[in-house]
Amino acid sequence: MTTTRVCIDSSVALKIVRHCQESAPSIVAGQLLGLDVDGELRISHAFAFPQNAAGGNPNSDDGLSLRLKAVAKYQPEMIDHLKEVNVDSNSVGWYQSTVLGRIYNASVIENLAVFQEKNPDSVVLVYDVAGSEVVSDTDPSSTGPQGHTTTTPSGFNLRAFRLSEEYLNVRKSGKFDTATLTENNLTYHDVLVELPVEIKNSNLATLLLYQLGQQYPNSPFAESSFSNLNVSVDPFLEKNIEAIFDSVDDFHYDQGNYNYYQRQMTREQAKITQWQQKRKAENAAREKDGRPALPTDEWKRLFKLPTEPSRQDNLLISAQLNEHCSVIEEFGAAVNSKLFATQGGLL
Amino acid sequence: MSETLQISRVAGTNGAPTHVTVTAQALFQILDHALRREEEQSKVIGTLVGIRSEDGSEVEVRNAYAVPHSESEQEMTIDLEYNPTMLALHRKAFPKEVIVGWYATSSELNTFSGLIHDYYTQLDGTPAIHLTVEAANLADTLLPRTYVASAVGIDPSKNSGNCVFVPISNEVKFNDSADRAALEAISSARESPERSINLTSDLANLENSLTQVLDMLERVQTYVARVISGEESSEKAQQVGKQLLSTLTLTPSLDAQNLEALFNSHLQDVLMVVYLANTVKTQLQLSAKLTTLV
Repeated sequence: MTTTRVCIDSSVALKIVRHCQESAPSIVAGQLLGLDVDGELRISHAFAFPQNAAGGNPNSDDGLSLRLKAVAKYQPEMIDHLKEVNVDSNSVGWYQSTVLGRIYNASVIENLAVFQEKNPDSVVLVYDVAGSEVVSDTDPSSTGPQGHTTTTPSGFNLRAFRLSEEYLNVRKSGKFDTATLTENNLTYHDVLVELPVEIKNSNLATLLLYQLGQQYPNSPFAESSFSNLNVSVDPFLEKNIEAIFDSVDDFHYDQGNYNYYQRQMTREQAKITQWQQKRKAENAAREKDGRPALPTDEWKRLFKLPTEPSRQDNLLISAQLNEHCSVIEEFGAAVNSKLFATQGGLL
Repeated sequence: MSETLQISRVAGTNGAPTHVTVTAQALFQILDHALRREEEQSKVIGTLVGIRSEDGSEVEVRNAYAVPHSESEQEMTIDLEYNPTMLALHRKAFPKEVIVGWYATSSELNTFSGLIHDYYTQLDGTPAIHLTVEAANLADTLLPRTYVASAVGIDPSKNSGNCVFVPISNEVKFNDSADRAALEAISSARESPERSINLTSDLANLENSLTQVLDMLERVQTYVARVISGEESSEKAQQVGKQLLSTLTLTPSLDAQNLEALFNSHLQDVLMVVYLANTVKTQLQLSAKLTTLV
């Protein structure tokens, strides 16, 4: 029985946010520690991986690589030390920053598979730093307390993912061809499963929040900044559309490969049919003459069918593209109501 | 307090920090540690890491990690190997951060505090700070207190651990754009009895914000109505009135027709983008369905 919800301690959430934001735009990652309690994955501690463990250019496709080898020594050492101060020493996955929800790439999937092999409850927590980056690119005037949230739809974008059963089954079989995918009922919709995320404060933290709210009346502890009422929407949409373009390019490239394979396949099959008919005719002639028939399955030796290219890339690109589109759709719904509200307010 | 500060400087804490900024994250970390202490432990301690300003007068505490220690009436032990290894591990991930001091989860300062403080000052060679959060006695405030130490006695080298803890000012840092959204989310969790919050969809958040704004508008309206009817004092009302006026002048002075045209074109842009996204999605679905057929 695996867990179906993720519950993050507030100290962990803050730690992740700070680590990811401080290092943006480079991509960073860290270890999550926790326990599962009644179908709920409680993440109670996290620590950052060394900077060289994850890295690269966030705009390239392999930007999210997490080099597991680089942390192989670091991770157990850190866990040993944390054990001494009563921290849960159970690995439950890792967190990492990302830009515009780019999560569907081979290395994330690969790492997740490795983690889930060790502990089926493992998740990857993805924190989207896109907002702050977009602001600094396009609108220097809006830096400030709310600057970060102007372009990110919800401001605080932390999501948990896990590989689906279907994907793991296909992976186990080692073949990513159409037949296996259909057999296991795997489409791009269900490569990753998103788990609902909840953030929980300890009693002490709740008390601290109240006291901080009293001490600093102008702070996020005391009031909302209403940043989600901001109507500046263009930069975010722009970035997302660009991301869609990129993904569509990738998709086309992959589709091109597949089309080539399909054409090759049709050609070969046509040849085989031809050969089979010829052999049939020959055999008919031989039968008439009373000679023994020639074998009809010789074509297997004579012709070599092209192997189907792996469908994994296609799956991932499709899923990523779908993700970008969903983000825009959701965002659009919220933005439209905001725009109408503003319009109503001003007229 | 300022007098004490001056005396302490004469006494030789030259270059000691006078102001401390603490990130909310470090505070939460400390509280988390406080919750994990052994039952018989009255307090736990740990290392504060962060950044010093160039002249050393200000310290920003960015992170904290726990250090195992045990303390009784007579004696106290700290694992001396733990701290340096942990620091080395931490600095692999955050190379810029250095040790700035130590924390304890009790506001009580005793002789051991002096000894620990000495140890931390020697670790880095710069004056360390001490931060306490009272996590045991909840009647007291949970807000942090910060100190620097100044040596007491004629020859400080012979009297290790003899020092006076001098309070210095501190503030909790939250204005960082990175934290704000997260802190808001976490803060809103304090209202719920489960002490938790779901990271809900944008629309639900938006609705919340809108009802909040509506409430606030209503409050202003009732206030204005009361001023008009003469129920409120005039001086305060004048100030509020001025501020309301200046807020209202922020509305752009565009005529309705122009405004509508602008809004509509913008709206159309957004709708177009959404439509595009929708089309791409449909194409994807088609492509996936067709491939399996072949």
